[in-house]
Amino acid sequence: MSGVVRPGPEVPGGLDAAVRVPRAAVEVAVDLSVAPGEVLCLLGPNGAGKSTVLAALAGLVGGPGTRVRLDDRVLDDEARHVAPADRGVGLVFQDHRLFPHLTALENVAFGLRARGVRRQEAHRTAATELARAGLAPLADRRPSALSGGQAQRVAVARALAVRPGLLLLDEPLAALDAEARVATRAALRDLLAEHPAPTVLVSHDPADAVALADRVLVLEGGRAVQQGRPGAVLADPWTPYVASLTGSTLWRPEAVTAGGDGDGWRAVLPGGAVVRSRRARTGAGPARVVVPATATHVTVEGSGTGTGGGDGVDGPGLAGVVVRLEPRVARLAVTVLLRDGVHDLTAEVGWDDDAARLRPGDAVRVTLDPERVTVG
Amino acid sequence: MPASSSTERQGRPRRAARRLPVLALVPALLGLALLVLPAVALLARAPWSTLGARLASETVLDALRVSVTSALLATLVSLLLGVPLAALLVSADDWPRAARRLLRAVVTVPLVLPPVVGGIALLYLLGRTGLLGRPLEELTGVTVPFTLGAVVLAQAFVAMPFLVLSVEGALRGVDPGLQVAAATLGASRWTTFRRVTLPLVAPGVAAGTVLCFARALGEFGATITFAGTFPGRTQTLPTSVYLAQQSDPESAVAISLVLLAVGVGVLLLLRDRWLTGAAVGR
Repeated sequence: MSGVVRPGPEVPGGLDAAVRVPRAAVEVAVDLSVAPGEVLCLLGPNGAGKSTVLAALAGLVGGPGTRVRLDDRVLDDEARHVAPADRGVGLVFQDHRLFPHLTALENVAFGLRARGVRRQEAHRTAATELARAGLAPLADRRPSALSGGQAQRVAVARALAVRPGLLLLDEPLAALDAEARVATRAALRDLLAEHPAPTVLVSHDPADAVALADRVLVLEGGRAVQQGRPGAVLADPWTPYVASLTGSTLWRPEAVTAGGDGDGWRAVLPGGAVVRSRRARTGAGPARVVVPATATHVTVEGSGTGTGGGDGVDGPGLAGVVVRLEPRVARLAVTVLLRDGVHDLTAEVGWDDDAARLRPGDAVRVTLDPERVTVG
Repeated sequence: MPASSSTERQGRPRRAARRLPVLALVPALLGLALLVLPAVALLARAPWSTLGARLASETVLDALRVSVTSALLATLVSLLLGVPLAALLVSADDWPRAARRLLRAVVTVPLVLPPVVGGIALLYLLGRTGLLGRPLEELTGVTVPFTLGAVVLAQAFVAMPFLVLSVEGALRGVDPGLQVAAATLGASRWTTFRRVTLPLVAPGVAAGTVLCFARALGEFGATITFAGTFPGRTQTLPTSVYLAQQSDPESAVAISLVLLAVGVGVLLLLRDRWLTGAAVGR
């Protein structure tokens, strides 16, 4: 992937890693660099290898070819492997993993005590850390007496208390209910803003990337497929997965040509379907067609009233059948399989729309707003 | 009304499903009788008026002293060796299947072996002509059988598996994720064991210790075979019960009551939680 920025040897600090972990399904092969103070979000679907990358950075898994350098220390290369306990890398888990027999304060003090800091001093530092996270009133509580969000914030404080040279967060918000997730995300954002070392955050929720990360690296099938500022990546998806994060559809066209009627462009999909657009994309990345779910209009095909556009290739819109209906809060997402039997498209319709009464198998015609469809 | 009806709907069928058919109730009560009536008979035959004097006799007090000393030592030995052995059993999950099964069998054998066989086996190991006993005597002049040490070894042989299985069950209940978390916080394996694992298995260790002590205190077959019954040296409460039964049955009943009381005391100590959870060892 050409998009990965490699810092030269003059880069003073931060994380520089090449992770190579063989797995049953796919090998994980990801190169990444994170500057001091920077938050990188690894975003990807389940099984993409996000957590494997984190585990490799923490020294819990590895494979031949894995290299990890943190500041001026080599943690992993061909000849060496620094054990998890000696890496100075903090890891926050999806399930907070607080020690159930210790209070919040003792949990936060644990790492310092393990490093030989005397009890009194460790507890003083831990109290400061808890206060900084706004958790001072909870210091004497056992994890069982904390809410999910509180426990996760204590877990972050525990990881930060030892001043890790690298902070790793593995889906830290995924186990929380919606309300706690929002509050904990905000608290995490404040803590990460003050954290001077590199941070790598794993998530499958683009909201985490947008709220917490300076940069996002999208993983699919064990590889990096796209990276950049979170907003920029979501606005300009390179793969169907990234497009789906914002409810868009991404196709790979066979050819893109200037439209015959003066302005705009024509993209021809494999199989013959044609998409028109007045927004040509500029910039890097593979050729593609991106259709936002709201840039569509779905009409129900009346029985037998063909529009005469052949098999829907070039009629007013694209013909297909409904294959899936997924209620979202404000609108209904309708997935339509085009007549070519290969491409599908997600459209959103209002609840008061005729299309909201569709059933799987119904024939429909989808027209696209050429002002909002991007090709290139 | 809707709330109470819903709790009834959840509560009632479960209780009804637990109600036993009469056909099962009869054997259940018979089973209960088999367990309870012997103790009742013992209480009925107890020489209450002379109980104090009989228990204060030199033979009984000596046996009590030997029993408590040896059972405490056997429990200590079992703790020092048994907790690491339980940890080994858990880590053996990564071993080849055959080796893992062999280890488990070796640890479990004393539970199913008649203790008298264990005593004979110990004799052939540590007796004066035994596998280790002969070189031990030749090199150091020490002989093990028929000493207090032999009582302790016999009791530990029989009782340690209770502690090992109890602690193993508790160790398996510890979330390995907590150990990973401790490691990422900079804790060595020893620190993790001492500050995370051990506190979390403490209830299991306590339950195993109490069970182990009770089993050691009641040990008879291996003790009498390997250590004999020398009054004041190797005669324990159970072996003295056996001897008294031949000559002085009322004293035998009196000592039996002491052992029964210890047994009940252990149950009270363990209570439900430990017995149903860690103590059974899964």
